[in-house]
Amino acid sequence: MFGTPLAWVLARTEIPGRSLLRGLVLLPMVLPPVVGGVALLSAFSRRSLIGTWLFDAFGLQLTFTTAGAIVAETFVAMPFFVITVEGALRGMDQRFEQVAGTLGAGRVTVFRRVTLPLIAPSLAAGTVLAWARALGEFGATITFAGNVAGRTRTLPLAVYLQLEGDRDSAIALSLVLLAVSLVVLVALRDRWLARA
Amino acid sequence: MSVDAAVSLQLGTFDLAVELAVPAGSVTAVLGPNGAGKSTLLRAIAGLVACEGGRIAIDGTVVDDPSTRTFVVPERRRVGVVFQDYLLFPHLTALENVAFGPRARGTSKAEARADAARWLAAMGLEEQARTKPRHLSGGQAQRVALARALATAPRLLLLDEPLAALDAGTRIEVRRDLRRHLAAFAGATILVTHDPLDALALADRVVVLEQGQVTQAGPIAEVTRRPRSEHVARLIGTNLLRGTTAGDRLLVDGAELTVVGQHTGPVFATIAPSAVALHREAPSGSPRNQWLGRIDSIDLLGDRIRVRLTGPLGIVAEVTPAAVAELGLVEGDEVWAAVKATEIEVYAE
Repeated sequence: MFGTPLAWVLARTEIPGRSLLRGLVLLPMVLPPVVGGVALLSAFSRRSLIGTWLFDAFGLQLTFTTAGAIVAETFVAMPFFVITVEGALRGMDQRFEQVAGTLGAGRVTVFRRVTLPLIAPSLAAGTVLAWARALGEFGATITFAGNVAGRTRTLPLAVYLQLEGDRDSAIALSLVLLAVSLVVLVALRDRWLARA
Repeated sequence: MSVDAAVSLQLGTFDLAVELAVPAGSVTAVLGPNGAGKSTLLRAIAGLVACEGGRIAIDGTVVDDPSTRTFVVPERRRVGVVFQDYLLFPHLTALENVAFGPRARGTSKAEARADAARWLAAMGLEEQARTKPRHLSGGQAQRVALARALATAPRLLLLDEPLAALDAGTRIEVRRDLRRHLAAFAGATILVTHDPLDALALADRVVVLEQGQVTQAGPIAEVTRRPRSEHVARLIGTNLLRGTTAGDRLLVDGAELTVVGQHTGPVFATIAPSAVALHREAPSGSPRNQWLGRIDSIDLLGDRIRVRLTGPLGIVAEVTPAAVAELGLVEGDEVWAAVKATEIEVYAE
């Protein structure tokens, strides 16, 4: 939802500071996730400016909540989606959009009926890739959203916890994660390589 | 349903400056070599690039005029475009491609599809309605692209090299069909091509574009009979000379020819290659123009042979293979060229 417009802005517009924006969007890809968590914490905690405003205005608290876990994982996984979709938007033949224009389609119609269908494979690939990355998220989640059972305890956090007590279930959970990730990457392989 | 265009914009290393008026129901061909600015002209009229100067009006409505900051976006110009490689939407079937325009203009889905089916039927493509573009042949794709452009009921139809992507066999058939559809279209049509055959077969008038400038414009017959540039002369396969006249004398690059009639001042003259006779010995008799030239190249063209001569007058002669064999012509030989005065068409510059 954020990713597609962001990718569009990066691929198609000529706004000043576009490379800076891209740098910021892709930053979580190279940043240690813990650092990302610290950054989110200082931005959205109840003691920070935005966090206070969010809580006062909407009663919304991000830290140590499920919403917070989602924000943390989006933050870390988004670059994978953006980079895939941006590549597709740059790679597609923009003349198709021009044809649609001459046929009387406004910009919204062009985007919905021509652009999106043409980049659909990359949208799917980006989504799955980002989802797979989010699945394995550990650092940013534990730093920002904590490790609250039933609310922000994600699979990798559970693995880490189980390792202390019940080693067997930790291994079982790890195997589940391993299998899911492998399936995703195998399914994506052709598409991902074809784009790159 | 007419168009008046004066387009001027910077195009790489040269400026495009074209004035063009196409009345409703007529077809104008823009003829020129690759890179002359033909496609850019079409894109400007369609609204895909903005003019830097000039003014474009469709049906008297100004759609682009930089001096008053008027610019109408493509989707509001009601201009149908058939692109060189057709650009059918690969994710839609032939029918959905044709229905796209009516749908985008707010027609209901059922109505748009019925409309599209009628257009495909008119093109003889009922069977291909549910086919995706990648499974269509070149000729079929061309017809779908034409149907898609016409289904929006455009005021103006723009065709960019509509036959260039087709092989020779299909081209003749598609050209004939295209001629029929253009005759049925009530609006103005502008056709961009580098092939004079397309222009001859499809257009009423021709505008010759070279290096972004119009070098000649007029009815097809007039342009082919009296070319005004090397390029046009080469396209239609005739010799174009540029010289000055005094009475029945024509001076070209230091050579002097006798022509029919009385003329004065700078003129163009054409000599059909088939009117140039070649001889080993200086000919005697009726042809009054003769000179010694050197054979630069010999090319087979269908069942005729084109012999290019250099010398006082560079000229192309078209002779039979038998004549070449009989005279034993090879490149580098010196031969006599002879042209009757009556074969030289002279017209003012």
